[in-house]
Amino acid sequence: MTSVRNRDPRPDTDLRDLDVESAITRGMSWTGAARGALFREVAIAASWQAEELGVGPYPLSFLARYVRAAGVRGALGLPEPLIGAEPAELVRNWMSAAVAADTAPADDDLFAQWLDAVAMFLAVRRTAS
Amino acid sequence: MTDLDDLRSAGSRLQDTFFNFVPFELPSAIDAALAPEPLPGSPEAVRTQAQAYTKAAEQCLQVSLDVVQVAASSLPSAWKGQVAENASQAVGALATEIGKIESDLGQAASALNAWAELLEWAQAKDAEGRAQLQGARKLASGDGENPFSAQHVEAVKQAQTGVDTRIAAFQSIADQSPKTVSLLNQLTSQARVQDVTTGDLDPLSAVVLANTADPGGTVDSADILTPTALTRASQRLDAMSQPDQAAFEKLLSSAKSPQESAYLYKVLAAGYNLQQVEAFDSAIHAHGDDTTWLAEHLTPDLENDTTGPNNVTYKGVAGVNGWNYSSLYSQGGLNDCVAASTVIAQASLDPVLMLSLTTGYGQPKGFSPAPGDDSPSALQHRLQQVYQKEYAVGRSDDSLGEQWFGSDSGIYSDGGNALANNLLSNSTGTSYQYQGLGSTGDREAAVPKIEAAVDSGKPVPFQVTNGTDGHQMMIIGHNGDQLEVYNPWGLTQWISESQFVNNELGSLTQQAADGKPMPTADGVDLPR
Repeated sequence: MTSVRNRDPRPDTDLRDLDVESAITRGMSWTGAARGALFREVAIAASWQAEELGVGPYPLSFLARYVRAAGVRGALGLPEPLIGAEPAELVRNWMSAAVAADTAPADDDLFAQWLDAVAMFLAVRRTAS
Repeated sequence: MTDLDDLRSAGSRLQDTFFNFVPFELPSAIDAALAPEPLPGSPEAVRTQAQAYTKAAEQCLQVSLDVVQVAASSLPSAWKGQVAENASQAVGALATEIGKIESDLGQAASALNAWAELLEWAQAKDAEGRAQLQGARKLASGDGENPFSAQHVEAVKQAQTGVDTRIAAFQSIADQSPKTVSLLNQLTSQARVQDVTTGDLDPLSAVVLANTADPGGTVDSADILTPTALTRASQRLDAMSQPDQAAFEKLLSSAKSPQESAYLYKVLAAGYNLQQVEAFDSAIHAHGDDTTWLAEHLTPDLENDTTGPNNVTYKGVAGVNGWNYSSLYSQGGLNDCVAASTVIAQASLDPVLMLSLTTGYGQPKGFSPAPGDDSPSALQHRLQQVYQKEYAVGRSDDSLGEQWFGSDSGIYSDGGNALANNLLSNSTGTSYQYQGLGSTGDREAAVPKIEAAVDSGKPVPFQVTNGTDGHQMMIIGHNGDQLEVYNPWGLTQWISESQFVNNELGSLTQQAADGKPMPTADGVDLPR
């Protein structure tokens, strides 16, 4: 068997201090490592931010759907992107960080895909035995 | 600082020189009031542009009358059948577009003429003020330097009148300028056909799409496609492969009405792929020439106020989007729900969702409300289900029974593809398929598919077991022959492809509470 290559398990708590908003802007702007991290470390950290506010996976994936249809800028205009002041502020901050990049559908789809990934992390934790 | 600010500041200085007895400052205060350049701009040039717009509008009016004449009389007598119908629709859309252009050009000409008149008045006023200031400047020298002389008092008086006159001129321009700019921008935004930018759609089709509105009656008669939707659909069409573009354009050309075409375009704008657009069209095509049915079932009839859409009327029943809080709390918490305003906003942009809400499109047989029931109470019930995540929206395959949202714990995994499909495939077109990993060959075949998925940002759920217990994790990245695995116990670990293929996955679950790791890969959800 091939042994695991010099990588220790990383607990999610190591990501608690990650600056999610800055990382979103970087991940939306650049490909490569920043883009890769967007769907791994950044999505995990974001999923914990959402979970701490009680946000479930479904409203996030529905918001992703709206982002695909209206774009990130359009979603920023939603009166209640998530129910509750704090969850709404959380995702508005994420979306504001994302619109630092372009607003072409491809970028909107990328951000929507990221929201779906965050929702997946929330969902898989709920199913954990 | 704007010129207007400078003039106000100079006016204050003039008052100070008089009331504070600092006469030696009067000349420099007057100079400050003269410093801003005369109001710029050429009323003649603006009028010339307005005349050009007026002339173009007159030409449009004549063309519009001719086209209306063709639409109303010549075509039907010359052609029969579907060809005549299509031609009538296209000519009608052209007439509408030309009518809009004529109206917009006329409004622009009026706005420019009004602007030229104001500019001319303001420039004359400004010249008058400057003349008064220049006169005051002369009076301010010689005897005028004596603060008690009549000449000084007259100089101050003339200077104050002059600066006030200049301020009035600049103020009038500052007040009207944003209104004129806003009106001209608004008129520009009404040039909607330019939003259909895709190179492969012929100009006449673009005109028809941009001008297709729902019929009146109880449903909003606004254009089906907003400028934003036109732009987004064009961009998505351009991003399609050539065969997909051709297939989409074939759908458009097969539509029974411009409204049906416009809804297909709107579905594309909302982010659906070709297969989903085709499935949607197969559901509505039978009603393609019933524009009232299309409007009623595909566009929410909204009553807006300053906070946005607040009331949906359907088949004469108002408030079908009512938000039932008592029901929501009994279902387990608001944070698992979507705000009613967001659902309605999505339904406004997304005909697939609206069709699903009004008819149960994509829902499995046996579900309540029954698919096909398009009554107001069924719509109300489905809306509540969407608010509360109990609804798989817009699906059209037969396997929905195993892809359902649970009503208690959110998402459930039945060892199949519930997790990924419930969350992702509704809106992305990324449908996940469950694959068993019972053999070494199954696992070897899965590895490249897993790596391709995670490289494109799609996490891949998979299940492990020890024969007694099971556990779900997600592969979220890959590097060389290593796979990055997210364990929902709050841990990210790496395994090798070889470990995955050889069912040596126990290290991932060595923290199991009962001390029994789960080394065997059971199944995986792969994007199709």
